[in-house]
Amino acid sequence: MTRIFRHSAVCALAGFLVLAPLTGCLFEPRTPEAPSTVSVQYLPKTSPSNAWANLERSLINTHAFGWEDNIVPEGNDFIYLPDTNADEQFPGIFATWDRAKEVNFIGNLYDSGVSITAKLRNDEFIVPDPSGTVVVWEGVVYDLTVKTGDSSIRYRGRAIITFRLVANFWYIAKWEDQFGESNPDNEGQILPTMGVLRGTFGSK
Amino acid sequence: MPRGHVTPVLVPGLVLWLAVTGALMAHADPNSAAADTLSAAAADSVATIQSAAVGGAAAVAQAAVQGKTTDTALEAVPFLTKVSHEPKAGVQADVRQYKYYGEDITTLTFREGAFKNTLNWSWEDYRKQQKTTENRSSQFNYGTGKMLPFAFNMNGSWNWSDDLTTNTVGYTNQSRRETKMLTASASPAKIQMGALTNSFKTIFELNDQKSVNQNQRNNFSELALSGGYQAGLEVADGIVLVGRVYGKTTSGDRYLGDSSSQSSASADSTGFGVYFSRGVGTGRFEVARSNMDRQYLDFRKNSNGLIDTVGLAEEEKVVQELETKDAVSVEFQNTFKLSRTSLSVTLGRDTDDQDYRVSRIGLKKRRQDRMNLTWSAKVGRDSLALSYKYSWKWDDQRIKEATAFRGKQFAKGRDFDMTWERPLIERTRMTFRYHEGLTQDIAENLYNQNDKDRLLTDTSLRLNREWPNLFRTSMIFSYKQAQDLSIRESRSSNNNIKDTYEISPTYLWTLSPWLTLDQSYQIFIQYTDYTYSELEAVGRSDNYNKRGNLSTKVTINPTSRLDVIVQHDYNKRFNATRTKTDVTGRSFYNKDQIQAINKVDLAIRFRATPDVTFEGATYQTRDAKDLLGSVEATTITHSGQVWVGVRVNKKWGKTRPLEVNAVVKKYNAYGPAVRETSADYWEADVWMKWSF
Repeated sequence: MTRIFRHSAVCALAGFLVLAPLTGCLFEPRTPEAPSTVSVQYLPKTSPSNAWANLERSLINTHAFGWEDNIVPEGNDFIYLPDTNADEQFPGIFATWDRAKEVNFIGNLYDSGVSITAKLRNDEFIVPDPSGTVVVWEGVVYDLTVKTGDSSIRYRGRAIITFRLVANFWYIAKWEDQFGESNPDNEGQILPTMGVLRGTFGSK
Repeated sequence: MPRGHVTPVLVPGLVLWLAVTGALMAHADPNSAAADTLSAAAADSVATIQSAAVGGAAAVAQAAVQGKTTDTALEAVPFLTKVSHEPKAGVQADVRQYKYYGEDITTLTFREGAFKNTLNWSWEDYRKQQKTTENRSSQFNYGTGKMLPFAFNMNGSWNWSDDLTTNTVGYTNQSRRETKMLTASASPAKIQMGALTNSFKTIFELNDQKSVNQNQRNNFSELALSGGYQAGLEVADGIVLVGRVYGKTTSGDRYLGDSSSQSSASADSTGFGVYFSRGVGTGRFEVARSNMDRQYLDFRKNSNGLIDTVGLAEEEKVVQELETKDAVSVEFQNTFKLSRTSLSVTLGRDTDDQDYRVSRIGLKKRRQDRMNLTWSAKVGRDSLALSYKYSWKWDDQRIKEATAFRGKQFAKGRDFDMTWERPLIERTRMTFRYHEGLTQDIAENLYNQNDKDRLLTDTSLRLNREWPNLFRTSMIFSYKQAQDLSIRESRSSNNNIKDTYEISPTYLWTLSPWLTLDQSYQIFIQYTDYTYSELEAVGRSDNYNKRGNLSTKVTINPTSRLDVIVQHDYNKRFNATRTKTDVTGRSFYNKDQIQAINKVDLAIRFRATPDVTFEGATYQTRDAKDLLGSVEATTITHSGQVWVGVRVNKKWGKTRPLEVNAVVKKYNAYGPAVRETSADYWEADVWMKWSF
């Protein structure tokens, strides 16, 4: 008798717990303000070049949504490999880098009161046609400047980017920084890569 | 500092350290202290208490009985019992780099304790860039075993690396680094004083680095001494109180760029914990506090901690920094188990203040509260698990020379998860999962515009059915909703809600012991609704995306030596944009793009002998894409890859074995995105090892 009661109680509890969440009201997000300005116009992620362009727009507008939405969705592996200089400057940080850390990094960067100018693809880079479900861009040179108050720091690096088709859209799945590029205004000065930004803001 | 400068410091340092072994230092590095966690120490203490209480008397009695036999046995065993070497050499290659490497492991086994030294060398040449690296290293460790009345361990390492990287304009940077590290630790045997169990540990460390990168040197040579004391007291059956103090002091010299200065650090931590295991409940309550101050040379940094030396004179690029940090953490954890029900609760709070004297980072304050509740039960055939997580944290910053804090950046997270498992009918099992999580970013006083909420809802139902050794099926229904909402008006135009539906039936059919058929079908539909798409200025259109995927895999094992896998994936998808919604609420979409991807895979493996296996694989992909709309276009691309290889593992001899291992594969690939370096390359790992 007791066993039947316990069994029924668990079934009732499970039924309640199944039905309650289906109403989707356990947590309630805040009501957003209606948009006052046209903010960021992202491109549909139907090609790797669109996904890459969206990262640039995300940087320029310090809009975390654009970054999070264009790297592989949750449940997929995101890999970041730093260049030697960034790896030496932040030992141990990148060994376990994953999507959650990438999202945390970009949120921390944007929340720190920075303004950014960015060009994530050099003019000489020839964009390969996508084919199949994986595309690799070798040797794309990105260039961005991060301003904070009276400080302005330029980051310029050469990277190998791997895009992956997940469900219907292209996402950045792997970012490998090869080396820091020279400052175009002073070739003897090697600029840091985004690995330094990731190391600084990803470890906060 | 000249390289030999460390040695005169090392000897008196070691002497000093040995002199104070067993005594306690009042300073500690909180980072090191954090690794030496209170709970680990407490567990150790509890184990000691239990050992002393339960097995102590028996052990003493046994030692008394065996004493003579043990002494006789020790005399018969030589001091050095075994010397062994394991030289190894190999070469690796892949699409990224070539690597040549060598290794030698020397092990000296003593009557008590052992010494192990590992020498490594490697040289790497990168294929996709002008970069070479050379690494040399040596590590040793030595432990005295039971030779001394206390446990003594020594570890040392030497690492040398040289990295030459040439960038696009032909500028070559050399990054060279040499580090030496020596650590010695001593832990006297635990001392039982009445009901109190006491344990001590002291550690001596030497760290030395010579480094040059971008013509900037970064050298340091530092000695550190640390010590800890822990006491445990079993106040009642199953209840143990543990207290701990830990301290560390460091001093040395640092050279950065053209500057040099002395460096120092001191830190301490104290902790207290109550650990209990009584009846149906086990758990702990811990409090830990740590302080640290560190003086060192550092590059000038901006308020975000980024090196900012552009435009500065050489002497202004490096500063003498003083960093201080104070931290407190409190945690309570309890697990209650009764019959087939379990309830676990974890509550915690962490706070810390970090201050920089020179850097524009200034003062940073952080605080985090967390709670984790987990309940699970098994009743009859049902199994239910619920969990709720809550976290609330903030950080604030008073930038150097600012008069006020910038405002707190809050991050709040709540997460609910439920899993219900139940067998439905014979050999058929149902798993239902519901998950809902909300994360919120909130900037106090709107110091930035990045307030945002993300609500994820995830429901899935999985049915599994098995016919033993013959047929296995599964069916997955899944619904996910993601709401990405920026709160501020300057960011909210991209707010959207994504609804995703997925149905995926699969089966695995074992037609015969040598033939299996695995087929799955997946349909995926995603609607993206932009919250403000009706506003003309927003310029976002809702969209609809659908994908169907049929995957068929045949595995054939005609003989015990041969495996063949043939797989075909057919993938059709389209993306569409909403054009209008009629008065009844029906939405109409226009297709923008239709894509069909066909991929055929073939993989073969043949075990020619027990030591040699031949293998190979190939795939071919056809990707057809139709762009619709005002400009219509069709593109068809082909890509593919083929590789063949051999795997060999052979060992000769038993007492002094010589082992050869080789995996060699040749890759050829084609396709619009395949570059020269990826079109034709070797993947290999070949090594030879001799043990004697």
